[in-house]
Amino acid sequence: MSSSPLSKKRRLSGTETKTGSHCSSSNSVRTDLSHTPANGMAKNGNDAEIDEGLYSRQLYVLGHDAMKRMQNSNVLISGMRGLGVEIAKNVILGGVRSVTVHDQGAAEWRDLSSQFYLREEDLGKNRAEVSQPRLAELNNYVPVTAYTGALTEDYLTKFQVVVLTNSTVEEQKHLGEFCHNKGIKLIVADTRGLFGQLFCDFGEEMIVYDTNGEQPLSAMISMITKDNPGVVTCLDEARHGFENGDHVTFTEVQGMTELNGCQPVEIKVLGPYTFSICDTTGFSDYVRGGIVSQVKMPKKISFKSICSSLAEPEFLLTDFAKFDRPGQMHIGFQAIHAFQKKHNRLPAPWNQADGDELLTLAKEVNSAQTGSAKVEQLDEALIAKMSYVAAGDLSPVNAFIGGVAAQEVMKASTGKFMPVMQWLYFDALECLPEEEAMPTEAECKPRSCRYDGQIAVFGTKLQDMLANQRYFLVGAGAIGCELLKNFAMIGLASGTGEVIVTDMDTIEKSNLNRQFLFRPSDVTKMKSDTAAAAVKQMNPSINITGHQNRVGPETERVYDDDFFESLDGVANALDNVDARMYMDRRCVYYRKPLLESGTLGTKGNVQVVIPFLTESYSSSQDPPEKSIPICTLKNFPNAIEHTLQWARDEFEGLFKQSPENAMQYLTDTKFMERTLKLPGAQPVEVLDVVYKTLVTDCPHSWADCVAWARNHWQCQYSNNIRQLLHNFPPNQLTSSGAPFWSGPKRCPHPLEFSTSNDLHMDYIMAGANLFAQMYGLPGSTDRAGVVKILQEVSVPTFTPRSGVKIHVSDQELQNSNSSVDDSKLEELKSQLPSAESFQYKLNPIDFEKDDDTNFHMDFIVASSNLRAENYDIPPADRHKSKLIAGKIIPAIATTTAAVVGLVCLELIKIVQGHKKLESYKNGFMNLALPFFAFSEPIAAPKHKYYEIDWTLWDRFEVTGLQSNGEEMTLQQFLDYFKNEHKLEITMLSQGVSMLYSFFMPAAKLKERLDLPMTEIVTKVSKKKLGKHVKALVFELCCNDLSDEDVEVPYVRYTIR
Amino acid sequence: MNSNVENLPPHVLRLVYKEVSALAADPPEGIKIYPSEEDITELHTSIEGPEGTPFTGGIFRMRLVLGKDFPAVPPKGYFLTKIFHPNVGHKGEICVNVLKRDWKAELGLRHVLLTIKCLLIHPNPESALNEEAGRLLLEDYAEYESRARLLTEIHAMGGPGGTSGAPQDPSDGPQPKKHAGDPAKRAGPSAAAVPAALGNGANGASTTSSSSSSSSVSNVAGKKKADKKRALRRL
Repeated sequence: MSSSPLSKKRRLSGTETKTGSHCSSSNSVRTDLSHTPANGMAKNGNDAEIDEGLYSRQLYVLGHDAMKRMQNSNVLISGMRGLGVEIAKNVILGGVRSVTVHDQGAAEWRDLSSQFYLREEDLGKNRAEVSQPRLAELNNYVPVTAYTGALTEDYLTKFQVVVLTNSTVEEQKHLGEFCHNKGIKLIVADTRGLFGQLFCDFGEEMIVYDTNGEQPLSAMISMITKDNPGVVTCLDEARHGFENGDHVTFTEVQGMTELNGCQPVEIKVLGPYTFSICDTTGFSDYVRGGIVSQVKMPKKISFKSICSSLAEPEFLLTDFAKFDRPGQMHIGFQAIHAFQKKHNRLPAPWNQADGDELLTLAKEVNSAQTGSAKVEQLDEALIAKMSYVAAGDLSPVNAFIGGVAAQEVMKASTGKFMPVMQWLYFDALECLPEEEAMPTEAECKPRSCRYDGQIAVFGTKLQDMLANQRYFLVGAGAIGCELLKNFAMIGLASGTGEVIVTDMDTIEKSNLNRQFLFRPSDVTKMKSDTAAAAVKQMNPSINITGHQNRVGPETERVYDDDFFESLDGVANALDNVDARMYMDRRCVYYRKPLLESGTLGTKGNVQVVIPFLTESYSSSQDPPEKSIPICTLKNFPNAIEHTLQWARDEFEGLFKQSPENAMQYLTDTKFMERTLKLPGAQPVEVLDVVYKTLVTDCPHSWADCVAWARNHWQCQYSNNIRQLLHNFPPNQLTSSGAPFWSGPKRCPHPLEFSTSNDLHMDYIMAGANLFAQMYGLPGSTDRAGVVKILQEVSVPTFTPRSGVKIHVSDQELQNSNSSVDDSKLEELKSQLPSAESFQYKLNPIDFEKDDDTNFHMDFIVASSNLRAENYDIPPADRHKSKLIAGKIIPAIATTTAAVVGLVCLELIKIVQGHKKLESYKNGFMNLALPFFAFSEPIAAPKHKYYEIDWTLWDRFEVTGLQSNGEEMTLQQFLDYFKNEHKLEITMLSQGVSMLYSFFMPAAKLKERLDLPMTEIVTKVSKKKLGKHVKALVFELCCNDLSDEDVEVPYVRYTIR
Repeated sequence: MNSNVENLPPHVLRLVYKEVSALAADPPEGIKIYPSEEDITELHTSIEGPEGTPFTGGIFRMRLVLGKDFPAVPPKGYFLTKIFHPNVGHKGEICVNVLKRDWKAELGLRHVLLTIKCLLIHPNPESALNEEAGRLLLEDYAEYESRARLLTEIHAMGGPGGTSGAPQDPSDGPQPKKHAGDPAKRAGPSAAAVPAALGNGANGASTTSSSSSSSSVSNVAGKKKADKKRALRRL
């Protein structure tokens, strides 16, 4: 089962939200309506210009069309402070045509708290000029220019998209109106300490080609009525998942054929399996079958210019708990502009007088409003806080707004995804101290250090606390790189603290598109070391150590009690649920805060786990992805996902499992013994594979490999299909008299091999080369040569096994017996070559999807599309096949940047020791919709036995070593709980090992009761306890004194 | 926490222990369960062939493997005893809707066991894994029955020395994944379609096997088997 990279989907009670709807079951057919070439090859003349190796993961988010449109966009980003550089970074990584960074100002101390491309030695230099070469390194395809002149109207006409940061409101209005009239798309973004603002104007006639970024859905049909409107019922295999107003078209409908290939028709959803379409009364009668597929319809939207939108704003809410804030901040930001204009500076940090003045200005701004921008009552406390922190510049807030703004740049240049309409406001006030003890003006005064922008908001106290933190960062991929950038900027571990970052992976080309600390020359280097060195450049005072360990039981000697106990917290930057669950368990055990996050395309989430306060990561789980039933894979595929999984299984069986088994047979003396002990038919099967691999199929030349591939082709795409059709002919009826091949079961047809069919030849080339690799023989890419060889290959004729019941059962009988006296097994054993006589070394092949020269994806694409042809399933091109078969997680830098910004806001709360649940925020976002939601973490659920309340953070502490120096026995352990806690243990376990149960055989129990606990653990689990193990975790099932089953905490049993 | 941690969260493990102990104390009719001490997520069971079916009189060993996503994902069932049944593949894998599409986390292990027993009474040829059995069931019930009966007699009535009866070392065959994730494995094939792994997991580390193995076949059973073979050839 694959794991979701998105750590958690958003959970809301009641109705399903749009964020959840990407979760598609394997039964609903996803069909890409865009034409896919029959030979399964993606490359055509037009998209050769996209570097698929670099943009691979982002292409799965945006698609080729949007990527090409983006490559025509020249982008201007004005203001190279922390926010500007964040936007520029993400846009450059994305791959627009060119980026011009503009700034007329010089670097100051306060810029350094978030401008990651400015260093102390750059103070006084032009921010754009210093940043330009560092930004240019991010993507060789994107020319980056620095511009330090004035933003004239004439200058702006060179650009398709203009982003203004750190600009005056006059500039925004003036340039905004110009852009609006000239069709230049405008984004205005600003942050003021804990507050952020974003505005978009993409013109009055903007076409959005894809409003949600979801794959078009499709479903199989069971009935269509002749009615007005006609009602379509889908097979009860899966919900159709459509929404009102979606457009659909049809294929493969029998009877009511008028619908096939019809113009997109709008639907009304009637239920999870039904919806209505157009008038069908004039159509033919529906007979059976058919697939309904969603068609994405372009949508036209219209923006107001910044001047009219300032007066009549439309807000996108980021936090439903703060529904009245956008209006207040809308006034507040204008008041800050007014303050700046008046004083030529920002309000001083935590200065009362400036706060009062800002409030007065805000009142003036508000009363001057004539339109809907006017608020009924100003939130004076909020405006005061805006004044107090306005001079601040926070890396996490810039990361969030910068990530979102960069996605808007991409939307502006591509029409992919729904833009922000039109204002977005954000605040992170929960980061301030929980009590009324707010920072003082003195604490927050600038002191000419790189953290001035942050000190302005939080004072020096937080700075000291941050400097001494010890954090464990697990993973240095996309999230890891972004976290490290923020860590460096906020000054985490810049004093006595330390960041330990571990990642066992090396850098690959496809990482460079978003893991922005890595450069092309870093490919093949270790991620953790490279990332650590890169952030040292950003802030030389960060103490950081790189490790190459995978977290898991095997590294608990390194990450042991001492290690964890010394930590202040853990940040996960993982890409799979297993490792997340593991780290979560460790954090619960050591009672450390855990920052958890994940992304999937434009979706992202953040979860914060606080000891003794919140539930843990594992407390709630998303429904796992549905796996494809084996019978569907084996005989009844109906979607390309099914044939791709089948192809992937083929690859694994043929090129990995078989040689592995054969090598084990040759090198491992225990292999035979182990194999013979396997149940059922497995010994014969395994040995049969070994025999085939070593004897019957063993090639001696390239020609043999070609012959093998040809015969395997015959077997899979002709013979096996003919055998299946023999058992279930096309006209087969089920016991209820319905056609057997109907509904989700598509009737297959066998293929005829032809050397002039490219797909057939693709298969032979890939299969034969992989087969040759496996035996260490040289391969070949000479197609003409292979065609010649194929002419000589003899392919045995195949007759479906019919009426040979004796033969079949005889074989069944022979295969079935697992006991050693079976004749077939004996025969096999005697025929197997001895290890010495076999001269080859077999190479099991590990599937690697990202190397286009290794034949792996070639084989997957060809074998999947051949099987798809067997079942008349539309084929998938290489790009799509790689996504599905490689279980690739679509990813884009924008989402990661935004998500990690939110993570670091939670970090700031944790470091201060926030204790209230409502201070923390779990976050969910989908930049494509766009959609944001925050929620309080869920409290740790309370349990109770007798009068004792407990949560997952509580436990029993039991010292195993007694005063006499001897360890507790099971009997003593049971007695201890009976006497000390009035609990009768009915079952006792350690991990998955059962140490004691009330239904244990009496003899076994008797023997066990007098053994020390650790001895029982070793005995049952059959694993030795390492020297680093100081304590064991036991789980109990207990009865209380009234014999009622009660839930109790786990036991920490100390042994050293 | 020690090196023996498993990926099932504690609250799920607790649930499993409860269910297993309830099953051990009060097994469903005609089903015996043999929990493995070493690994509670691996449950060996034996199911009596229900009356009025070609499986009557047989004892069918079946293994339930609870994966790391249990109970969100149903356990995987494998028949260890050879059986001629449309929904049981030649490696013993079982395809039944309640264990796939219709699964709900609340259903529990008892429901799984009863469903599999029920499948012996009502096979579903439409999701056939054994196409031959599926075809016969649709076309020629008498033939289906006699074939299924024959395999029952050979494999499920062999007594303790045959393939039915006491469970073997549970460390054989596919194992639920137990370690913190290896991203490389994410792209792996579906577990069901991979031939059962050898030894104990991918690293080939073999655990000491328990004493019982099926090697000792009594002469009586052996002779009986030979008779059956001859009978089969005559068919």
